[in-house]
Amino acid sequence: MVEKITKTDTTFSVPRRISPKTGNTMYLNWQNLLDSEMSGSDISGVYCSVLALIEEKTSVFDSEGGTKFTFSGLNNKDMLGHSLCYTIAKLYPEKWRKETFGSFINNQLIPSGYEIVTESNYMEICDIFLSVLEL
Amino acid sequence: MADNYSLVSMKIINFLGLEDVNINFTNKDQPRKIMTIFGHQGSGKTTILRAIQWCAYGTKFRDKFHPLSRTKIFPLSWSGNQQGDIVVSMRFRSFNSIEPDNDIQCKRTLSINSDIDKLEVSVGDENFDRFKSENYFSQIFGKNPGDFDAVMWLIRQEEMLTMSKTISQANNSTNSYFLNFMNLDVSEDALSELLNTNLEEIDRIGKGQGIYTPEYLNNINTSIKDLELKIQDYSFKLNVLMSDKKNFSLNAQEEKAADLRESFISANQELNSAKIELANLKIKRGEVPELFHALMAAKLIKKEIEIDQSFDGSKFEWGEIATYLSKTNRIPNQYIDIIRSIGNGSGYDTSNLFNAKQKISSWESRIRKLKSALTRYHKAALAVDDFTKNGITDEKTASAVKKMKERNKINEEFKDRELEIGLMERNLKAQKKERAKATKSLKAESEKRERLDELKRINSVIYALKNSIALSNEDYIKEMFDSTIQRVKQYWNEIDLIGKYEPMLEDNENPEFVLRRKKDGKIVRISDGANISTAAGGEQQLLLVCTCLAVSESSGAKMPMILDDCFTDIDKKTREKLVEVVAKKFGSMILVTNDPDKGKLLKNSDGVLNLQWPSKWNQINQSNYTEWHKWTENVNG
Repeated sequence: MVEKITKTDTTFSVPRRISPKTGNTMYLNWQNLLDSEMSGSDISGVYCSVLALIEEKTSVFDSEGGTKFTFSGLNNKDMLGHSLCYTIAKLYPEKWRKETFGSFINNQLIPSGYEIVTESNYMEICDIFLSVLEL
Repeated sequence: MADNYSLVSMKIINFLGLEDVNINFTNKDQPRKIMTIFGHQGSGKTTILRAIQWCAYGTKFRDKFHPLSRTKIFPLSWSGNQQGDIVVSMRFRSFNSIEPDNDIQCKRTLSINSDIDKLEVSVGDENFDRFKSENYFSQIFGKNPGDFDAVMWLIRQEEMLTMSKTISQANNSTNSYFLNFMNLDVSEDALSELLNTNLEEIDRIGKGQGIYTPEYLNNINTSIKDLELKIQDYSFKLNVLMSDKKNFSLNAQEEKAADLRESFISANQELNSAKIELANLKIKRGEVPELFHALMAAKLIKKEIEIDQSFDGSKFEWGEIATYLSKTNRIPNQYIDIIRSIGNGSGYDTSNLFNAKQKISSWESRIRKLKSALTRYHKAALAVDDFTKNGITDEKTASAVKKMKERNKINEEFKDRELEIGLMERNLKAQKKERAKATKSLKAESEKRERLDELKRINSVIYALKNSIALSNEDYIKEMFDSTIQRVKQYWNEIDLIGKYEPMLEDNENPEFVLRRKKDGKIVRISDGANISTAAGGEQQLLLVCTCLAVSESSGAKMPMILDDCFTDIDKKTREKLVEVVAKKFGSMILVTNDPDKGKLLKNSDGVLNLQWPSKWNQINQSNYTEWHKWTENVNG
């Protein structure tokens, strides 16, 4: 069991270009992999984080600000926030501390994931997914 | 030509038993006008007469039983196979001439392997052609008796027998020896030949009937006219089509657009299909969390990190629940502690992660399909985009295709019309050719008809001429016949010394020459008949001789008259008278007999040719012909 260290109001942020209303459509619909654009920054945040987790990319970026979000919306039905935190905690246990998890997500995972988003076309994104789904 | 001729000489080669003989009929270089040929049976008298006859009328090629047929005149030594030329030459001198310069020479030759006799006639040094030769011959010898064996200047048993058979038919037989004697057939040969030629031509013209009629020609003309009009009409339509062709011609771009229409449609269809497929496979908004869970779960599995089954302990106040429960004193304390601990350091709810493990494989399949669909879509979109970049739009291609179809239709129609016109022109050419043929044929038919009419007109004239000639012939024949009958009576009156009978022509449908007994009017016929008392044979014979003499005189033949034992039944005095009359009448005469008494009949004879042929001799030739014949004043023996 992973200790729950996050709070419901813990704030994260995603770059504006992948944030709904301000973001690039191709980023928001995953290069047409989605039938519609992502609806919230929280999903965008999870998207970037998942990509980074799959690719094991955790470069450090300077925080540039962006659109803020929390996991509260994610946990209402699908418990995405729980799943993400659990997965992060399992994959990067050394980073899963109260002091560090926030910056890990904001400054490493999300930006790394964003970089993947901006640098990959639909085929590459599919390949990223397939690389982990092929067991 | 002179009135009568005498025989001057004869040369006979290979004729029956006379292998090579020259007989000179002159006395002191002058022809003997009246002479006797005397000799026993088989001495060659008849052979000489046959030779004269053969020289006159030639070989009877058609009748192999005739005495003058080819093999019948061969020497016996030839045994039926010709071994050399057969030649008989005769020389004649007219009564009016004493010089041999004007002698007529007649030579007939039957060469070995030849199918015809060769006839040569010359007068002095002048040789005559065949036509002139035959003309001379007929003047000397009279008309060729044809199939008759009898000859008009020779009175033998044959002539008397023939005369006795035909005498009753004298008036109306066209095949009568009597008529032949008198040379009365007016030659209608030329007219008949022309008539036959015309009839042959009429038959030939009639056979080659043409197949074309004026109606046919009219029909062709109408057909040609119709065709020409139709060709004109089609040509006009062709010009219209040509103009349409220009209007519907496609430029290069349109051609390209038309060509690409199909692939354009196909590309769009593919794009649409790809879109539909993609739309079905795209990740829906509601599926995103499930995908994230599957991805995270798959990552953890890949990292061999087991996913705990945990739940969110912060959902409830577990401390308060534990405190409450402890107060109930119903739950053992160890359990109260566990409940209290749930609130402490509770984990994250991993139920979704946990459940997502089952979805990994389906998401893998889905993502693969999605990738493929996206690839397909992008490819189709690129293709469609490519068309668009090249200005190939739906409107343009549709328009180009429509234009092309129209153009093709026009082209097809143009080609069809051209073909039809070609066919019609070929047909027209053929019909014109046929028309020319029909016109030519009809013209030829018209000319043929004209020629037919002309020939028929000519033939009707010929028929009229022939009828006229026939009528003339009839009159002429009747006149000659009557005069000949008179002559017979004259001869009779001159020769008959007994005066018991008189000749008369019976006046009935088929009149016959008969003897009427003067005292009682009884009739004697030459042939045996019923109810008739038979007159003496001498009178009958005399009547026949007189008839032959009369006919011979009427015939106009110029030969010496030859009597060959033709009055065996006539009494001596009458014979003498007969011979006297003949010699006087004809001027030139030859009496042939084997009877010494008869041989003395000729008074004023120019000599007797005595013939002697011993049985040891097979033929007469240079070696023995002098012995065979000699001239004397009287008969020997």
